[in-house]
Amino acid sequence: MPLRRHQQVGLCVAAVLLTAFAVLVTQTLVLGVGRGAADIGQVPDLRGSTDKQIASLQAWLRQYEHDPSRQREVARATVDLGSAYLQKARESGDPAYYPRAEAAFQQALAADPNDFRALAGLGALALSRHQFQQALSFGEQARAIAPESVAVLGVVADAQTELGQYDAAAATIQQMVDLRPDLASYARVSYARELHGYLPEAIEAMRRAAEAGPPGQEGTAWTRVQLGNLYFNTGNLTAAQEAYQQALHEVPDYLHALAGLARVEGARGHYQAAIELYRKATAAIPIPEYIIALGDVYQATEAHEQAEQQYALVDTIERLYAANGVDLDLEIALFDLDHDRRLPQALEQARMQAQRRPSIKAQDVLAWALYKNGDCQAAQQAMSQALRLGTKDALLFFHAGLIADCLGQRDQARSYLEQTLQLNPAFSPLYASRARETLARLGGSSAATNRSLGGAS
Amino acid sequence: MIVRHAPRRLLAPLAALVLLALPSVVAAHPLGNFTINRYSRLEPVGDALRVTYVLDMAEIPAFQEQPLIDRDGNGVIDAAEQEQYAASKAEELRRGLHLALNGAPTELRLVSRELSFPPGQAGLPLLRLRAIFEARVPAGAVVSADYEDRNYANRIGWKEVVVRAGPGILLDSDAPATDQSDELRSYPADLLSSPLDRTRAHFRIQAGSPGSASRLLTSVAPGAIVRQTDAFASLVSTSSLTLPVILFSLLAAAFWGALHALTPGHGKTIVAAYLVGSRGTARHAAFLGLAVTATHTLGVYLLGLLTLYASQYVLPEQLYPWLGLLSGLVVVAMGAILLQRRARGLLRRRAVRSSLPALALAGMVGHGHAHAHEPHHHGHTHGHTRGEHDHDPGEHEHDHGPGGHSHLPPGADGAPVTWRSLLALGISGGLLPCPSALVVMLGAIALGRVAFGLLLVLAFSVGLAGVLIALGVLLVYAGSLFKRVPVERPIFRLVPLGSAAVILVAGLVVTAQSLAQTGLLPPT
Amino acid sequence: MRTFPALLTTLVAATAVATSMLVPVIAGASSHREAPLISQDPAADNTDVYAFVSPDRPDTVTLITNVYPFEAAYGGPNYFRFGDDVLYEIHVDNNGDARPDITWQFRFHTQVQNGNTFLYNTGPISSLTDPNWNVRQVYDVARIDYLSDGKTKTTVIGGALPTPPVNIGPKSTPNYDYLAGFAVQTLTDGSKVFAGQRDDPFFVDLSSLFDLLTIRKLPGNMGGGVDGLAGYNVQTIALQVPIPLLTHNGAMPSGPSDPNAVIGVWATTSRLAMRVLPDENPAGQDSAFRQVSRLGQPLVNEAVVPLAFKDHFNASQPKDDAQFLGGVTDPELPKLLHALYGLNVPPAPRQDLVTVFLTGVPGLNQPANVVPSEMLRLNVMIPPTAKPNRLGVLGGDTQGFPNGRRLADDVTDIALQAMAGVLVEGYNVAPNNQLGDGVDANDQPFMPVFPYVSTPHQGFAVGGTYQPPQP
Repeated sequence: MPLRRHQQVGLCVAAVLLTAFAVLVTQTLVLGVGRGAADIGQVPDLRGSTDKQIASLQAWLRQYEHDPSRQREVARATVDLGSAYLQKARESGDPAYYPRAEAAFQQALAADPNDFRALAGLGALALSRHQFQQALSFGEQARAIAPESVAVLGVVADAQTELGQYDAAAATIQQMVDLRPDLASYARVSYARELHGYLPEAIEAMRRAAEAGPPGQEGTAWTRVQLGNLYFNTGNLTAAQEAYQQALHEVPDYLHALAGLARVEGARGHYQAAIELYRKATAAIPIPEYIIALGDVYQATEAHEQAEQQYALVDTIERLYAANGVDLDLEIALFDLDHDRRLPQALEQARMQAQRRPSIKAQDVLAWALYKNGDCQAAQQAMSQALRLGTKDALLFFHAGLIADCLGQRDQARSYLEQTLQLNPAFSPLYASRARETLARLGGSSAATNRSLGGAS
Repeated sequence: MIVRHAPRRLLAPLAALVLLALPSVVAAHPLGNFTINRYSRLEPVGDALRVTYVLDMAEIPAFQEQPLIDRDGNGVIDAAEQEQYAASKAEELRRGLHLALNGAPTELRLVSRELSFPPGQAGLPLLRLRAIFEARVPAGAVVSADYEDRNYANRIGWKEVVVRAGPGILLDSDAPATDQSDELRSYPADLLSSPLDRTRAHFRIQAGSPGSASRLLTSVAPGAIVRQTDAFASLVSTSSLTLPVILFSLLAAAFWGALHALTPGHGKTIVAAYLVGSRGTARHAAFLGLAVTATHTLGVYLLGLLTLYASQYVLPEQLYPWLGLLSGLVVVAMGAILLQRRARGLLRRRAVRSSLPALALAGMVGHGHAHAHEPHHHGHTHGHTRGEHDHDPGEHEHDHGPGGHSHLPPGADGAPVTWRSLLALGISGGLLPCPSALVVMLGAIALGRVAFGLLLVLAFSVGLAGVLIALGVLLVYAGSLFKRVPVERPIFRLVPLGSAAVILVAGLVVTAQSLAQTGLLPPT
Repeated sequence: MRTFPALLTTLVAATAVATSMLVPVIAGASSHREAPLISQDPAADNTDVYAFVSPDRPDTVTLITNVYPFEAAYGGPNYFRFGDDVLYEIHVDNNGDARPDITWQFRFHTQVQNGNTFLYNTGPISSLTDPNWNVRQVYDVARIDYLSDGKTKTTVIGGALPTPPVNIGPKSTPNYDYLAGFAVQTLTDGSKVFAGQRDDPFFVDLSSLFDLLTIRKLPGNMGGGVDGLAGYNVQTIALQVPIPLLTHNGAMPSGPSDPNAVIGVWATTSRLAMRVLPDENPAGQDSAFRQVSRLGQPLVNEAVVPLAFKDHFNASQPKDDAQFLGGVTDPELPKLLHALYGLNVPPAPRQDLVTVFLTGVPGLNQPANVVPSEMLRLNVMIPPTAKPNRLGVLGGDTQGFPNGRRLADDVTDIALQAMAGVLVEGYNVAPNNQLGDGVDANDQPFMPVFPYVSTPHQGFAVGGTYQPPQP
C-alpha cells in the first residue's frame, strides 16, 4: 500500500508517545514526586520561635487532625498550639490570638475532659481576662488530675494571689519552687516576698529568676523589667535603669522596658526624654498604665492639651472594657480617682472589685475611692486591710498617710508619709510634691525627703 | 483635691457619625480594639496595575485619629474636614506603598478614595478608608513587580495582600489570589490559621490588549498548589475522583480542547495555507490534525517532565520563547522552500504551457517537496541524495510520493502532498504546548493525580485534534470546490504561491515574536 | 441599678459576657502580675550522657554530659552559656547499690570585663585572655567521694578554669579550634576536663513527636531520615578519668568479669531552692539545691516515663527507681509501634527491657547484686574496638550501647529495636530488627582526641546576621 510510509511515521509517533507516557508514570510513581504531603515524616517543629512553632503545629494539625490513629498526638498538638497562641499574644500584644487559644483548649478538652494541660491553658486565659475565680476553678480541676505539674501550680498560685488568698498562694508557690526551681517559680516567689514586705529578698529572687531565663526570650525580658520595677520602687534608679536596659538587650524595643526607662527619666526630671520613651512604648499597644503615665508627665510639663488627649484615650479604653464586661483594670480605677472623674461610679466599681477579689491592691483602691468620696473612716478600715500583709509600697503608704491626715491622726500621717518618701521619693509624678508638702505641713522631718530627686541614686 | 476642667469631649462629635445612639451591642472589632488592619489587592487592568487598598482602624486608633480629622477642634466633624482628612490620609498611605516594576520604583497615583465610619463598640466608631491607586505598566513584555505596604509597620493588625489576575494577564505571584477578609469586612478566626501578616508580594504580569495572543502561564513548583486560571486547568483539582466525575472531566477536557483549537495558534493559518495550496485530501487533513495533536500531547508531557526535574535550571516560560523560535524557523524554512518551488514552477509553467488544468498545475507545482533542510528530516527514504535536489530548469517537475519515485503529475497518483511535509507541519504546529495543558500536567503531578492529569491532557488533545481535522477537511473541500470552477484565470495560479507566501510570513511572525520573548531582541 | 442607662449598660455588659467571652483585655495590660507560666530552662536541661573507654587512651574512661538543647548556632547578641546558678553534676555508682559513690560538681561564674556594656565581645578574640572578650565564663570542679562510713570527702580539683568563647564567626573568633584547644585543662588528680560549646553530637530524625518515634520510611534501616539536630550546638562538660580513679577498690580491674569493672553513670543539674517567706527560715539564706534534671540512658524520658511524671522523674534519684518499674515492664512505645505499623511486639511484662534500662545485661555490664536503677552502665574493661558498630550490642559490638554509650552509637535505632522486642526470643525478626529513624550518623565527624565532640557550628556561617562591633 502506498500509505505504508505514513503508517510507519504514525506508528513512530504513537510509540514515542506511549514511551513517554510510561516513563513519566514510572518516574512519578517511583520517585514519589509531588507526594510530599503524604509523608508520615511531617511533624510539628517545636524548636525555634513562637511563629515557627505556630506555623508548624498548624500545618501538622491540618493534615492529621482527622487521622483516627493519631488522636493522642492530635490532642497534644492542639494544646501545644493553644499554648503557643497564648505565648504569641504575650509577645505581640495582639489579642486576636486569645479566641484561637481558647478554641484550641476547648477542642482538646472535648476530646478528653481530663486533659490537665488544656485545663491549665483555659485557666491561664481566664487570668488574662481578669476572671480570677474562674481561673482558680480551672486550675484546681487541673491540679486534681496532675498535682505535680508546675504550669498548673502557676495558674493556681496566680489566681489565689489575685483573689487575696495569700497563705494558700504561698503554699502553692512553695510547692512549685520545690518541684521545679526556674524562672517561672522564682518570679512568683519574688512577688510573694514583695507582697509580704520582704523587699531585698524579693529583689534577690527576681534576680535569680532573670538569670535562670533563656537569653533573648520575652519571658526573660519580662523578668528583668520586674527586677527593674523592684529597684525603682525602692528608689534605686541606677540599678533600675540597668535592668531595663538589659531587658532591651534581650528583646529590642520591649515596650515594658521602654516604659520602665521612661519612668526613670521622669523620676529624674528629664520629662522630654520620658515623653519620648512613653510615646515609643505606647505606639503599638495602648497599655493603660503607660498611657496614664504619659498623661501625667505631660501634666508635669504643663502640656495640658496633650495630657487631656491621653486621658481621653484612657476613657475610651475604659468604655470598651465596660462594653465587654471586663473587670476594670485597677490602674484605670485609680486613674479615675486621681483625676476626679466619675467619683461615685468609681467607688461603686471599687466596692465590687474588692468584693470579687479582695486582694490588697483592690483594698487599696477601695480605700482611696472612699477617701476621695469623703468617707475617711471607712477608708481607713479598707486601708488597714490593704496593709495587712506588711507590704512596703510607697503608694500604699501615701494613701494611708493622707487618710490618716484626713482623720486628724497627725503622728500616723507623718509616719506614713515619711516612709513613703524614704522608700521611693519619686513614687508618682502626680503626688510626689503633694506628699512633701503635706509632710512639711505636718512638721515631718524633711531630711528624709532630701534623698534623691535631682541627684538620682 | 485637684479640680479639673471637664475634658473636652472629643467623643461627642462622633455622635453625628454613630448610627446607634445607645451603647452599642455591635460586636467589638473582631481583632481587638486597637488594631490597624490593612488590605491590598493588586490586579492588572489593561495597561495598568490597579491597587485597591483598604485601611480599617479599630475603635482605639480611630479615636486617636479624631484630633487629626477635627481640624478646627470644634467637636464636630463636617464634610469639609472629612474630605480633607481623606485626601491627606490617602496621600500618606500612597507614600507608604512601594511598587517596583522591573526593579525600578514606580509611582502609584490615586484614582479614588472613600472614607467611612462604621459603628464599633461602646458607641465608638471604626474608621475605614478605601482607596484605589494605579500605576502604568510597560506593555508587551513580561514585567516583574515587587510590592510592599509599609504603612503602620509597627501596628498590630490583619495585613493582607492579594494578587489577582484581571482583565490584563497575570503570570505568577507569591501572594494568594483570593482574599480572606472580603476587603477587611470579616475576619476568619479559624483555629488553624493565624491573623494574616503579609505585607509584600512579588509577581509578574504581562499587560496587553485583549486581542493579543498572549498566553496564560503559571510557573508551578512541584508540590505547590495550582492557581486556577481557567476552567480546564481547574478540572485537575476536582475534589473527589469518582468514575462519573472522571468521565465528565474527560468530556469537559475534550470540549475545552475543541474550543481551544478555535483560538489563534497551533499553526492553523499555516495548516490552512498548506492544505489549500497543496490540494490535500481529507486523509491528509486527518493526518495533519493527528500530527499536531500527537506533537502537542507529547510536548506537554515532555515539558511537564522537564519542568519538574529541571525546575531549578529552566522555567517553562523561559523555554516557551525558544520553542516558539524553533517552530517559527521550521515554518519559515518550509515556507521559503515552498515559495521557491512554486515560484519556480510557476515561471516554468509559463514556459511549458501544459494543458493540464490550472489547479492541477498548481497542485503539481506545489508538490510539497518538503525536502527543506529542516532539522526534523534526516535522510530521504525515497532515495534522493541531497545533491540531487536541485532540479535543473530543464527537468520537469514531478512528484516524489513516499511510495516511490513517481513522475506522474500531481493528482494522478493521488498523493500531491507528502506525509513527511504534513508531519513537519503538524509537528511545528503542535510544538508549542498549550499553557493550559501544561498547567494541568503540572498540577496533576503536584496533586498526586498523575494518571488523571495525563488522561485529561490526552482528552484535551483529542478535542483539539477533532476540530483541527474538521477544519482541515473543511478546507480540503473548499479547495476541491475550486476544482469545479472552470477557471483559467491566471490569478488562481497564484494561490499556491500565495499560500506558500502566507506560510513564510506566518513563520516569520512567529519567529519574530519568539525572538522578542527570548530577549535576544531589544525590547520595543 | 438606679438609672436607665446604667441598667442598660449592665444589661449590655451581661449580654456581652454571656454571649461572647471572646473579647480580651489588651494583652499585657492587666493590673495583675503575668509571670510566664511555662519557662524553659535550657541551661539546666540535660540532653545526653556518654560514657566510654577512651579509644586513644584505653586506660581512661571519658564521661560526657551535654546540656542546652536546641542551641542555635546564630545566637547573637545574646550568646549561650552555662547557668551561673546551676549545679552541674556527674555521678558514678561503682558498686551497684544505686547510690552515688563519686560525684563531680561543676559551678560556673560569668565574668564581665567591662561593666559598661552587655556585648559579648568588642573585637576579635585571639586568646582566652583577650581583652576583647567581654563576657567570659569560668568554672570550678569539685570531686565528692562517698565513703563507706556515710561521710563524704570533697576535694576541689580545679578552680577558675576557662571555657572557650562560643563560635561566633570569622571576625570574632578566628582560628576557633586553636582557641578552643586551650580550654582542655588538667585537674589536680590527673584527669582531663573540658567545658564549653560544641556541636550537638546526637543525631535523630526529629519526627519524633513527644514519645512517638515516627519512622519516615519503614522499616528505617535504609537511611532517608533527616537529622533534626544538624546545625545545632550544645554545652558540653567532658571528663577523662583514669580508670583506677573510678572503681570501687581504687585499682585497675583485672578483666571484664572483675566485679569492679562495671560502673553506673548519670548526670544531674540542680538549682537553688527557695523558701517563699524568709521568716520561716531563720538562716534566711537560700542555699540548698534542688535537682531539676536527670539523665543516664538516652530516651528514657521519651520512651518510658509518662507525661505527667516527667518533672517527677527529673527530680528523682536512682535509688527510688522502683517507682518507675511499671513504665519499663509495660511501656507505651511498643504498643504504639504495634498500633501504627502493625508490628508484632512481645507482651508485657518486658523483662528484657528491665535488663536494658535498670540492671544491665548479665555477663556484660551488670554489677553483682545490682539494685535496679536507671543509669548508663559501662564495663570499663571491654577495650575499644577498631571497628565500632553503630548498633552497639545489637550489632555484635560489645563495646557499644547499652554497654556505656559512645558518641557514634545510634541509640535511636537501638532503642526502637529493643522496644520492638529484638532481645526477646522469637522477636528478633524483620521488620522489628530493622527499625530505625533513617539517620545513622551525626552531621559532623567526631574528633579522635579528647573531648571527641566536634567543633561547634559557627554562628555567622549558619545564617546569623548579627556581627559584634569591631574596633
